[in-house]
Amino acid sequence: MPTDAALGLPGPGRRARWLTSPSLRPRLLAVYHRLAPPAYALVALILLWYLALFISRTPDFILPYPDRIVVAFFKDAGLLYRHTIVTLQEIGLGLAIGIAIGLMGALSLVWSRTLETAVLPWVFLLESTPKIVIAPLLVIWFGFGITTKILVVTLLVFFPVLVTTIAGLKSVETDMLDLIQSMGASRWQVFSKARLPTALPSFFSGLKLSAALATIGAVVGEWMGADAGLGYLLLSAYDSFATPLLFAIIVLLAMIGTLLYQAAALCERLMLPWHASLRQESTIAM
Amino acid sequence: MARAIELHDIGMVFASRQGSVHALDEVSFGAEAGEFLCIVGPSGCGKTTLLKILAGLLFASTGTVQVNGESVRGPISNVGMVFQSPVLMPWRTVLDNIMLQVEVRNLDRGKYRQVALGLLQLVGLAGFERKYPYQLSGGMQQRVSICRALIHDPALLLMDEPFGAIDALTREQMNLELQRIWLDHKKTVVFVTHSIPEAVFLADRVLVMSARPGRLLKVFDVELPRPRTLETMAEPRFSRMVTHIRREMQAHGGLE
Ligand SMILES: Nc1ncnc2c1ncn2[C@@H]1O[C@H](COP(=O)(O)OP(=O)(O)OP(=O)(O)O)[C@@H](O)[C@H]1O
Ligand SMILES: [Mg+2]
Repeated sequence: MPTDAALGLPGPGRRARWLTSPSLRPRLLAVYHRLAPPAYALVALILLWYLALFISRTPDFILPYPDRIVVAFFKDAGLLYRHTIVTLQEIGLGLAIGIAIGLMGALSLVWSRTLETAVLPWVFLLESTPKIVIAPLLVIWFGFGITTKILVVTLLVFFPVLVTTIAGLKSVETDMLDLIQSMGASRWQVFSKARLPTALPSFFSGLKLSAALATIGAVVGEWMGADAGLGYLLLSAYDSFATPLLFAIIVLLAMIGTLLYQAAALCERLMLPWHASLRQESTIAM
Repeated sequence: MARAIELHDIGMVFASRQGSVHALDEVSFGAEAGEFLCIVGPSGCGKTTLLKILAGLLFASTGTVQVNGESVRGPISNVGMVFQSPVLMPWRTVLDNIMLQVEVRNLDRGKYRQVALGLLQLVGLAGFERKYPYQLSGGMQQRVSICRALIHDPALLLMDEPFGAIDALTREQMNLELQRIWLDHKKTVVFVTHSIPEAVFLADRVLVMSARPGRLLKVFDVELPRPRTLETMAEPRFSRMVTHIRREMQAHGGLE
C-alpha cells in the first residue's frame, strides 16, 4: 500500500521528515544566521527611537513615534496607493525607455568606428555632469504632464546603462578576439559570441545603478510641478506638517528603490550564473 | 607544390608611447605539409608574437608570411590555435567552449558533438562536459582549449606552450597523444615550448631562438624514429640532442 509521502500528500509523517531532513536543517540554520542579525539591528533601532523620543519629548511633527508611521500607512492607504501607482508608472516607463536607449546607444557606438570617435569623447565628458539640471528644460518643452516625469527618469537612467555597456563591450581580451578570429568569425559573430556576453556583467551593474536612480528621477520630476505621485504627496505632506505621512512616503520610496534593485540583481543572477562576483555570494548563501 | 608555411625575413617592432620594443629580427623558416616544428627560446624572445604573425592575427613590421603558397593578409582560417592561456569563455560550459569552433565555422553540430566528447575522453576530461571553466583547474582548462583547437581537424596547428600548466605525468601522456593524433592526421604543427626534452620528443625539427630581439639561432633536425615512446627519452641519442640544444641556448645567454 502506498504511503502518504509516496503519494505526495502532506501527511504528518511527511512534514516531520521534511523538517528533520539532513540537508534542510543546515540550510534553514544558514538562512537564520543571515537574516537574524539585521532583524535584531532593526529592533534595536526602533527601541532606541522610542527611548530617545521618550526622554527628549520631541514633538510629533519633528519625529513621530514609529507606531504613528504604521498608523499613517493604514489611515492613508487609499491615498498612498493612488499616488504610488502614478509614480510606479513614471518609473516603469522611464526605465524601459532609458534602458532601451542606453543599450542601443552603446551597441551602435561600439559597432560604428565613426560614431565611436565622434561621440564617445562627449559621452565620457558628460558622464560626470549632473543630468538632473536639464529637468527644468524638460518642463518647458513638455509641460507638467506625465511625459516630463518619464523623461526625467529616462535622462537619469540611460547614462549608467550606456556607459557601463560601452565599457563592457570594450573589455574583451585581445586573446579572446584572436581566438574567435582564428576560427574565421564574421564581424557579427565576433560581436554576438564574444563582445556581447562579455559585456553582460557590466550592463547589469549599470542596470542596478539605474534602478536606484529611477526613483530619484520620478520624485524630482514631480517636484518640478505635478498633481499626483509620491513626490507630489511628499511635498503636500511637508506643507501641512503631516510628518507621519511623510515618513510613510519615505519608507514606500525606499521600498520601491530596493525592490527595483533586487529585481535587477535577480535578473543578473538568473542570466549570469557563471559570473564571478555572484559565485562567492552563492557559496555564502548555501 | 607550395610549402605549408613559409616565413621570410620577419621583423617585428612594437611601437608604444613608452618607446618601441624590437621583438623579432629577420626570422626565416618554413615547413612542409605534415611537419612538426618546435620552437624553444628564452621568455620574451617573441615566440607568441611569431605564432600570431603566422596566424595572421598580427602584422609583421617587415617580411612576408605565406601559408599554402598564399600571402597572409588577415586571420587564416584552416588553423587550430592553442594560446598560452586557456582563453575559455566563462559563460560557456566545457562542451560549449569546444563547440564554439563548430558554431563559428557553421559545421554540423550534432556530428561534432560526438567528436568533442571523444576528444574530452582523450585528454582525460570525460564527464566534465557540463562543467563551467571556473570549476576546472588551470591544467584542465588548458586541455579543454586543446580539444577546441583539434575538433575541426585543421591542417595547421599552432600551439603556444600548451602543456605549460600540466603536471609532468599528464604532460607525458599528452605528448604521446599529440604525437598519435599528428601521426594519424598528418597536420603541420608549430609548437612553442620551454621544455627542451619535450621539443626533442615531439619535433621533426627544433628551432632555437635568441633573446630579444628574437632571431633564429639554429635549427636541429631530430632523426629519432616514430612513433617515439617514453623509452625513447631514455636513449643516449635523445639526451645527446637535449644537451646540444641546451648548450646552444646557454651559449647565447638564454636560460631555459
Ligand atoms: N602587443 C604588444 N605591445 C607591445 N609589446 C609587445 C606586445 N606583445 C609582445 N610585446 C613584446 O614583445 C616581446 C615578445 O613577446 P612574446 O609574447 O612574443 O614573447 P614570448 O617569447 O612568447 O615569451 P614567453 O615565453 O614569456 O611567453 C616582449 O618583450 C613583449 O614585451
Ligand atoms: Mg609567449
